[in-house]
Amino acid sequence: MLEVINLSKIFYIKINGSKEVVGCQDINFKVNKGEFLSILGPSGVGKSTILKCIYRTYIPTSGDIYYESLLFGKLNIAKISDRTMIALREKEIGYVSQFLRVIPRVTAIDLVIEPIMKKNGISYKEARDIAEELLFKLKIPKYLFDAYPSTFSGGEQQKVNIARGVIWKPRVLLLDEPTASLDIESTKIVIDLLMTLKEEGTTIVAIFHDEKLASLVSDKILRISGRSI
Amino acid sequence: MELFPILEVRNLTKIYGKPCGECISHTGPIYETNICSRCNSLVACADINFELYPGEILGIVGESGSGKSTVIKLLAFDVEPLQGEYYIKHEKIINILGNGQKNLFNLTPFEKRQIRNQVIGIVYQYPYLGLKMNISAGGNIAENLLVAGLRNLKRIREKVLELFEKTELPIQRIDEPPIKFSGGMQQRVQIAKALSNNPPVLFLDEVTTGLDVSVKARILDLIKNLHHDYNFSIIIVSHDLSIIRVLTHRTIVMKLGRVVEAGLTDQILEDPQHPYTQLLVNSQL
Ligand SMILES: Nc1ncnc2c1ncn2[C@@H]1O[C@H](COP(=O)(O)OP(=O)(O)OP(=O)(O)O)[C@@H](O)[C@H]1O
Ligand SMILES: [Mg+2]
Ligand SMILES: [Zn+2]
Repeated sequence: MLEVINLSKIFYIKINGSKEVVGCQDINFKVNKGEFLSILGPSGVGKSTILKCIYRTYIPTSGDIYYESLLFGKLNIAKISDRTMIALREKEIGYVSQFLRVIPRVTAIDLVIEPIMKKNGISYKEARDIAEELLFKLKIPKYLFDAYPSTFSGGEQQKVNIARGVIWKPRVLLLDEPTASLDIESTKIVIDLLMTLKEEGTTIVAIFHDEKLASLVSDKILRISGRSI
Repeated sequence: MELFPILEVRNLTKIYGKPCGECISHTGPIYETNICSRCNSLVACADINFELYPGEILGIVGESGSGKSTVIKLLAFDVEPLQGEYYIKHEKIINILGNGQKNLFNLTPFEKRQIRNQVIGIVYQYPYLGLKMNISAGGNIAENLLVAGLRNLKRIREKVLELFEKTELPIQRIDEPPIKFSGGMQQRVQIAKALSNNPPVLFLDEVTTGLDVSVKARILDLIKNLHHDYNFSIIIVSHDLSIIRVLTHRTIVMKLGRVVEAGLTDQILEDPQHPYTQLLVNSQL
């Protein structure tokens, strides 16, 4: 489903002279459909960089990211056009960032509704019902549904972020430390949600810092250690 | 998934002054100037290429003088290019021009006026460019409907009221001229006017520049909601990266009349490739 071959990302920073920063180096892995792959490794080793290359927020410096798309067939994400990537983001590949990026004056429920409306073109009412059920499952108090997440706690924001990623059942879901700001009970709820998604066929790639949690949930683990420069 | 662009621009070039024939190869980011050293002409934009897709919001960013507004003015037929091709694919174009792809820059003034009136909506950086400041706000909007051929006065009045409502303008002020309005309201009148004939393509040039924070936020809400309801395609010019981040799918970065970088908006903001974009992003974070 997703195969990453010799992926490297180097940032060339050209302000005040030039500087090179290695994001990630020679990354290789393969995930089959419906598998759960976890990425583990010390801080700063490039875990987030890998996910952002797959989502094309970063342009890979070298290497290939093969993906078997439902819409387009097999393609190399490192080489596709921006428009193709937009289509994949709307229809197939989801990404849950480490922290929620709040959009000014958009309520929690509307943030969650947005991706499913983009994918399915269902009515606002239908989408809202699905979103409410999901936020309810995540134990977000009802009075927060129509509030702005900028005032939420870190955990509440992260739950909204996860709801946004899960609601539209993407074929591939990339998650960057989805449970980092959550307590044990919330972590369990989120893991259950991810497991349900996986059973329904979603391929998952997630970064964790909790080794035990990762071995509990994943089919495969990719360990990234310090690199040679 | 829409694979065909609604709007396409090829090799668009605008030079102010009498070009010497080598202006383009003597200007741009590499030369750190947009003024030709041989003939003193100003290359406002050169070799601009891009597409806009149905339902897409495309951002254009860049410092003052980089040519952003020039591109918009060219696409609105307000100024003429030195060279370039410009195509829009839409049933309204077929209604006006018949079948077949035509470079819109080569049309007759009459055809351009029709396209400008029915296919393109535009909101200018400065309200006085888009509005007659001394005739009533309602009259400004009605003018667009009249040009489109609407004759029934009652129907025109209804339509203007509808546009006032849509853009959240106070209906009791419909007969006042925009000169009496606040900056935010003037932009709303421009937006109402731009939307009057349901254009599939909208150009917004610095719509929120100079407005205070809360007014700016409300205009952004309005644009977001209108885009959600009508799903038109938008080109939005801004030097404010927070607006670009919130509204656009893809972004083009211009410097000294050239496109130095284009990409997915989050990529432009988080992994900018060109030194100029890196500077731009860094100075606004
Ligand atoms: N957009 C960027 N521009 C420049 N350097 C970057 C960028 N993103 C990441 N880096 C650098 O790339 C390296 C890898 O960063 P990344 O965020 O991928 O690490 P990480 O493994 O996710 O770390 P953490 O576990 O602390 O979240 C770091 O040196 C980081 O400073
Ligand atoms: Mg990280
Ligand atoms: Zn010259």
